[in-house]
Amino acid sequence: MEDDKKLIARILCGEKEAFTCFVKKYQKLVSHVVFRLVRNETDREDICQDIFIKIYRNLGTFRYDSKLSTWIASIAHNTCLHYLEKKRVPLYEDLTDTETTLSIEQVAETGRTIIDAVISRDIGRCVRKEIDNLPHLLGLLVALYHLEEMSYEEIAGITRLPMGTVKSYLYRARKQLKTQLMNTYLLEDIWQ
Amino acid sequence: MAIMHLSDNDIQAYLDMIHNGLPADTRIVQHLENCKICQEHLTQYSRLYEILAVDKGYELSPGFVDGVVAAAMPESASERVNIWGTILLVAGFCLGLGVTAFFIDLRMLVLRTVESFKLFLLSINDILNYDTWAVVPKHHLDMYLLTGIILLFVSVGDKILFRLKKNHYCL
Ligand SMILES: [Zn+2]
Repeated sequence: MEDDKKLIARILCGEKEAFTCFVKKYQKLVSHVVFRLVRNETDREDICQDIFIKIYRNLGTFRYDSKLSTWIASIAHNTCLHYLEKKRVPLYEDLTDTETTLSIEQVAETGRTIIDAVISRDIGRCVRKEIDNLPHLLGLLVALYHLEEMSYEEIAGITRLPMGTVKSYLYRARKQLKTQLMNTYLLEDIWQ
Repeated sequence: MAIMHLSDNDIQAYLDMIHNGLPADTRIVQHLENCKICQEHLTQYSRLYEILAVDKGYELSPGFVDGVVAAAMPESASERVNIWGTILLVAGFCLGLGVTAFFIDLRMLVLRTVESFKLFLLSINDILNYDTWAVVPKHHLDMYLLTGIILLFVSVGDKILFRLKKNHYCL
């Protein structure tokens, strides 16, 4: 927190190097939110850039009443929601209790990726492909909890969902991932 | 009687507690100690947690950071102020000189300025020349010294304050 305070103060003084450090430090977090929510590859980087410009313009209003990462993720989440609204992409489209079923094309595509990945032993790539097949919001929750190590409470604050909902969505996402992985991978490739 | 195994949610709740360094539910711990099926289930979920935590994420293009900085800070505010400040200063000086030349006899002005400057130099010379100190009226010398000391204090104070402020905000 102290480091972030100093970094923010330097950015507010107009130091370009400080803002460069800031972008480098938080680009992973912003890209996790954007890439999990926005599927259009051509727009993703522009959205990431818009988010950092928004953060830069509002940095003076950050009051340290939450973690900086939570504040950044909230701005990223809201910007993505705004984008999805404009593009008329429903965020909560496929969160009914029935688990997502893949189209034949998706299964074929996933199968190809899996074979490639298993050959190259890149399990991370296989899992990412499986996460991409999850509903957008579930993918985001997985990224925030497992990659950004945020608590259920922080995630609830960012997504403005009740904490119980966040928890149950995450349980469902992990269960679905485990089932998909077990159905498509050889036991020794992934579970050891 | 059929054995009630742990549900997916039970196992995830157990792993979440461990993940966050909190004590796990004793009911779950006891069941896991005695049930091979649930142990297997737990191993699978543990592996999933491990894999999810090491995902490298998505790569942004190499020029992304520079692009963002250039877009957010096209040129620093101070640079902009400096350029405009200099332009305004030069323009103001030229305008002032033009107006003065238009309304006033420049030759007379230059002569008077030179005359005043000569007097000023003479007075400085008087102060610096130790032999003539006795000739300089005492109250004049005190005034010069006092002015010098005040200016020195102001400049040192200003430097210290500026440095403190810069250190406070820009370290
Ligand atoms: Zn059991």
